[in-house]
Amino acid sequence: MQKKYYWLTFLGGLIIGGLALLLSKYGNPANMGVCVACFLRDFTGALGLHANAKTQYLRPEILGFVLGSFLLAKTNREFNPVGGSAPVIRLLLGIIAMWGMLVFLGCPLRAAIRLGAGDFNAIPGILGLIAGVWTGTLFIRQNFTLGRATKVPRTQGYAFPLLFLALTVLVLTFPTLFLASKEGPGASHAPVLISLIAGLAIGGLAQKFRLCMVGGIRDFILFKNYRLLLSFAGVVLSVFAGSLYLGTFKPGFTNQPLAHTETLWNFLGLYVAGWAAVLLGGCPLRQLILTGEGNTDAAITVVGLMLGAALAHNFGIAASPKGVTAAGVTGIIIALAVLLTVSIAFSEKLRTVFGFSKSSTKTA
Amino acid sequence: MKTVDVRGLLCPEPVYIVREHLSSGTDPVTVLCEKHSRENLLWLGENLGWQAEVEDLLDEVRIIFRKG
Repeated sequence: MQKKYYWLTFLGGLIIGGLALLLSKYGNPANMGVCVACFLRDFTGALGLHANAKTQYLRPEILGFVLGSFLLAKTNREFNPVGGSAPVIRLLLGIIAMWGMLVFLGCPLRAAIRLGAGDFNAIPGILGLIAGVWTGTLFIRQNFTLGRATKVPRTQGYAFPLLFLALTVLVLTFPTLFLASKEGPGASHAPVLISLIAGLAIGGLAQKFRLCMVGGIRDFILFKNYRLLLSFAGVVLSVFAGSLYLGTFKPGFTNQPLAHTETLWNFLGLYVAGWAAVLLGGCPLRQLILTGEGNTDAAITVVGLMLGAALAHNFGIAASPKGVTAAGVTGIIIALAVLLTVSIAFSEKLRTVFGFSKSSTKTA
Repeated sequence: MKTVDVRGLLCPEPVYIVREHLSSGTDPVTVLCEKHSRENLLWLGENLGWQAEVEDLLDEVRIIFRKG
């Protein structure tokens, strides 16, 4: 059973990479067929929560991720509304994780896609992601926990998936209701139905195989379990093969689509994202999938990611192909300070040493 | 019989906690987990040489680990 599950996880990665290429071919930005961070940023912009006119579009993929997970979880009786595990801390971690990703210009999934397509700037990013995940596991070893989620009334678990369903209906019937970029990355997008269907497929796959682009590195470091790494490898491989086939493979550092060449900040951007994702129990894609399964803490994390995107664009923290801004550097420094504080304060073996409250967040 | 409750925890905590219990010398160990942790915990048990008996409950899974 284990072997088959490993192969299916790898296949899941291959399919996601293939869908990312397909979405780019149909109009999504190059090397950004799927990017949870970029898409949440565009999503936030479409709702008018940030003022960057170039990154506003209600990405149907995001709706698809949540609804695909929700539908499959309902079918498999895995829809299980829980909540109450340090939601405010998760909100905060979501905000700074997004800052890190927008300094790198992509989530861990897009890092895999960028690498597969030949963007070597993804290499320092992925090294930063590994280092960040490793840093997070140091605190897991010190019994880091944000505490236990408990069952909540089922209505709470339904709230977010139904909100996303309502947005899906609106985007299909009254698309002009939302802001939409006329130029820039927000203006590049596949037709709505293709995006939605691809999103549903990815959401379903990720729910079924618990895909997480950070979990692979984390589980390998902590348990020498490489299953989830296979999905990461699957994405890189299929994007690599597909780009070669389509003739879009372009190896190198310069002139890569929607990327900058500042190695240190590519590294630190995903360092922040990787560390935050370990504390949060999963990468941004996984948070959307858990939201579909009824996890209200993950839903709050998604709100945090969106809030982070809004702040990043309103205060100039997000990088651009021109490079990183002074506000971006400040954002990373703030993010590192928050990560260190939260990591120590919620690690049971460390908190008393550093003078944080003794009262435990664990109920059992 | 020892019961370890890892419901409401997100990865990697369930695996990390159950690994500590499987290494503590108790046999058998009963684990209550949410469905999303099932595969990872079964992998852990198999990897450490334990037999697992799985019982699907309504919203959760009960796994009884016995040293083979």
